[in-house]
Amino acid sequence: MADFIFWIIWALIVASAALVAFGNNLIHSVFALMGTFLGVAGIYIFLNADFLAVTQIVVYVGGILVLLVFGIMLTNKISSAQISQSSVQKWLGLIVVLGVLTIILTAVLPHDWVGSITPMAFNETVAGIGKLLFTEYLILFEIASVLLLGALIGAATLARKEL
Amino acid sequence: MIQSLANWILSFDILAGLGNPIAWGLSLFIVSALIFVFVAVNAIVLVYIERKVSAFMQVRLGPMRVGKFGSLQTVADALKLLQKEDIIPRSADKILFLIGPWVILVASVVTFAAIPFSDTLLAADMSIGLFYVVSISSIVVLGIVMAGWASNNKWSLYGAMRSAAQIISYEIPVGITLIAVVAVVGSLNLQTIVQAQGGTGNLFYWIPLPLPNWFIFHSPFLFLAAFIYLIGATAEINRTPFDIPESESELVAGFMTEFSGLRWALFFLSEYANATLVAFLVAIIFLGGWQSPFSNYAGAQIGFSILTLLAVMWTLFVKAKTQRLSFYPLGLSLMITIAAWLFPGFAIWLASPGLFWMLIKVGSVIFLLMWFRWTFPRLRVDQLMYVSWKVILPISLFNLMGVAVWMWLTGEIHF
Repeated sequence: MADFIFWIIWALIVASAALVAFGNNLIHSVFALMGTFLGVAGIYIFLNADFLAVTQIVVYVGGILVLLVFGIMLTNKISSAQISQSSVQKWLGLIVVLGVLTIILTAVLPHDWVGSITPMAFNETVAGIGKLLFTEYLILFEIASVLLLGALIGAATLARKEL
Repeated sequence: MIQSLANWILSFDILAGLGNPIAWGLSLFIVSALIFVFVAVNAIVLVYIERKVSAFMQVRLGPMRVGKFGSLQTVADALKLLQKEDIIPRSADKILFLIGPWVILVASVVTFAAIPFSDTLLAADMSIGLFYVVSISSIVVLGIVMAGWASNNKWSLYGAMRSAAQIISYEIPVGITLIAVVAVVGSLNLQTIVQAQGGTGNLFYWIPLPLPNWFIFHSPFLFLAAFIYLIGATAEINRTPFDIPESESELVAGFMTEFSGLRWALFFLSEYANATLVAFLVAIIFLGGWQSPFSNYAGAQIGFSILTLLAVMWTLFVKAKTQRLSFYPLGLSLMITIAAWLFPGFAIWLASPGLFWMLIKVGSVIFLLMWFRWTFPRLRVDQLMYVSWKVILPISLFNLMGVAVWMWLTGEIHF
């Protein structure tokens, strides 16, 4: 049963990612991205990373995807619900993709993935993540928050009327 | 109970031949179906109650024809909606138009998996329950935008955009308010949050007034946080006075303008599922969830005696104000009080935690939400944003700091 659910999630990720890449309708692509994000969250759950899975949903589906939708809807020159997305320079893109794929495969294939699997009992991750964020990685955490604050101030400055 | 139900299904002999995985899948399916049935029946009941409450607040009778006191009105409405033609506008984006309502419904129903109905009645005991509920309910935005965009209608699109902007803005203060509570408990598990609120203690730790250990009485900051959360959550579920995404006076019906029949009913279903979810969260986080307000049976007896005194005062007050006698609160509380003093078993039952208390609390919060809806005027878009970013957000940040200082003062945490 768990395997069955895993394969459903896998199919969801691949199918929606394919729709994102090859779809002709921009809005459909954006909403198909939701399937990919949710599927990745499901994979995280299979990896016992419950906190990460939910964070994935909150950040990507609740935040970034909505931002993408906003971006499209606030664009000018939209007169109907059909916005086409055309892929340009397919051959150049194919070469780049093949190159990246070769690099990834040379890194992934030599490793013995199946042999290194050890089934683990599920442990809560939240407390551990919290402790690490506020002890060992405190500086990095603060740097990330300053970066986000900078982005926020920048956006507010750009959106001001009297620039 | 749901978990024991799942185990009961697993124990069937017929399923042994099918193998454990299939039995497990079947039990998961039944648990999900139970949650969905709860949401659907709940919506039908709540629509009826909402129509009655609104009618009484406006000195009307409300639905009276179908069934006794119109009690079957919403069942009839639901049957009517099921038979209606499913109209899809010609220039609509068909796929998204078909999917949109379902995305909203699934996102609202799935959240109930983490809600503890009582100490045993719980579908999934998640260590990240609260975070899960918050994150899944953020998917609703996408469904609304999907439906609004696919309708290819300017009212729908305006409604969807407003809704998205509103939900994203109010997510922040609501999230920070919840963090204040999580800081007190030290856990995201909803069951742990409820368990942390057992027993009785002083009001705000120092004031010698014995009240249940609910987080609303934990400190002045969490008391404020409860109301901040209620306001923010009302805005997040697009209910009046924050229902600008579907404001009838400006946008026809907002993002649901083009929908008809079953699909339109789905919007209603998810709207009431969301309202119930918010009521559940308020009850779980601030009002002690399934914990009883009384610590022992003597507490229940004395508590209901005090309630009866309050009901007497209420009756006198109504009599002085309106020259009418309102006997229902007094009669009900008097009956419960007498029963509690006569039968110790009943008092013990009142003092023990359970589904009954959860539903009482949830019902009260839902009534409060309906009261909001039928007494406050609708906000304007700019006022809505003003409330979120310049009023609620600073207060919730202040709350978070205040709670930390308060816990240090009362010695709950040490630095």
